[in-house]
Amino acid sequence: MIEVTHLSKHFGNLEVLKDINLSIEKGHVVTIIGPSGSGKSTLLRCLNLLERPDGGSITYDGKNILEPGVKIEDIRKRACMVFQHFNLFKNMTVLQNVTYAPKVVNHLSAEEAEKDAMVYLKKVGMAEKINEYPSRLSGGQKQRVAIARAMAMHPEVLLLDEPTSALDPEMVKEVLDVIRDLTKMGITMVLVTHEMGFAREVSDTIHFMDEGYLIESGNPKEFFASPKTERARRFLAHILV
Amino acid sequence: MFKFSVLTPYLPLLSSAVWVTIKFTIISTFLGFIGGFILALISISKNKLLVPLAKFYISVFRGTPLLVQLMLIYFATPQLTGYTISALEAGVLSFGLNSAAYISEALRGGILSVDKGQWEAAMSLGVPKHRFIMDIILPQAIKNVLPALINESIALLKDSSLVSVIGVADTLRWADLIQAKTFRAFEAFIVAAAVYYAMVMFLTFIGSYVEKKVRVSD
Repeated sequence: MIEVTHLSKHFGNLEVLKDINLSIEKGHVVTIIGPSGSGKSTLLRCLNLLERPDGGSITYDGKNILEPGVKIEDIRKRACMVFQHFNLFKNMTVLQNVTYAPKVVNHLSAEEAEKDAMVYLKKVGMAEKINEYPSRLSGGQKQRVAIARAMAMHPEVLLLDEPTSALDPEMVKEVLDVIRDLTKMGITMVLVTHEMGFAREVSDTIHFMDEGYLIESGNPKEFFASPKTERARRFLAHILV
Repeated sequence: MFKFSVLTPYLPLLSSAVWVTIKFTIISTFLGFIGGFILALISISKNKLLVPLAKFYISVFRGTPLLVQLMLIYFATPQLTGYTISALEAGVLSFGLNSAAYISEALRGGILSVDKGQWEAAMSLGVPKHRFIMDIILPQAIKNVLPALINESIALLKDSSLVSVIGVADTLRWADLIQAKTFRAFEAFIVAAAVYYAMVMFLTFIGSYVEKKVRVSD
């Protein structure tokens, strides 16, 4: 569904993505892991053009989204993002957060948008809090709302950028439970995470990145049991799995 | 020693003078907000033609005295255009243009102070920029700079007394006339000062009420 070929990206003189090649199949959960600063998040952000790559191509169903003339909003609504710091709209209630983009981008009526929003808010267990403002929610609750907000756009792929990294430990589980539920629904997902146990459990493919390179890709069982590269071995040795 | 009773015959005149001050402040604040809003949106855009123009506008109106701007507009407009501009029009125009410069800078600061994550979240959902700036960024920006905006309208209210020099029958002009007629400077000006103070206090009160209202999302 998504093909990334020879992708590169610089920030000034710093080369953060070097010749990245990977493909994401429909319905698969793809997880990108690696040390901090390895380029995982940048790669993810390139997938919905929050970052503009300098070279290479990203195709959605065969169409290169980096070509001039492609409307950036059309790509983004197909690949919605869940952020590390939630980024709920602070001036809107939970329900407004979830209904806003469907109304503005997909032109749903208020009624349709609310009906749909409630489906997802129930799914993430936040239906009781629809009239609260984000400032009144815990981190875990915020992230669950953010997931509902992204899902309400019915994206073809859900991008999750370290969704549990900013959470207090006791809230990590509630968010991972929600994400696990989504993986069972067959939603295409690209996940950047440091939760190795979770990555091994839910992923169809693991991509290991370091210093801007995609070092190793494989299925999670093989990757975690016997990584092929020395770099991945060292990485796994340094973390608790 | 004080003879406030000499003012009694002029009180009806005072009420119309206060009304002029209020009307003047409201209209120029309104103009200032509209202009400031547009300038702020231009400033954060990437338009290569409009951005320098807006910058220039802001620097001119912040870099010259308000009184000079007022006199220039009042006395030079007839000379340049043939249109006889009324004192009130000149006042409202110069104050509106002037406060637009200040308000745009406050708003621009407010917009930049909105967390980058808010922009990214809106973008990542495919919301067009012009929509989310209106619906998400500006409401938060205005909230952030509300005290500055209230200060700006208080400053406008007080500075409105400058229009008395071009003959607008405002509150200060009233006091000036009274003291000329009655030779009672203290009574006349202290009443004018009290009236301004009361109006500023009222604005301050409104301001803190509005601030409380917009803090519901905190």
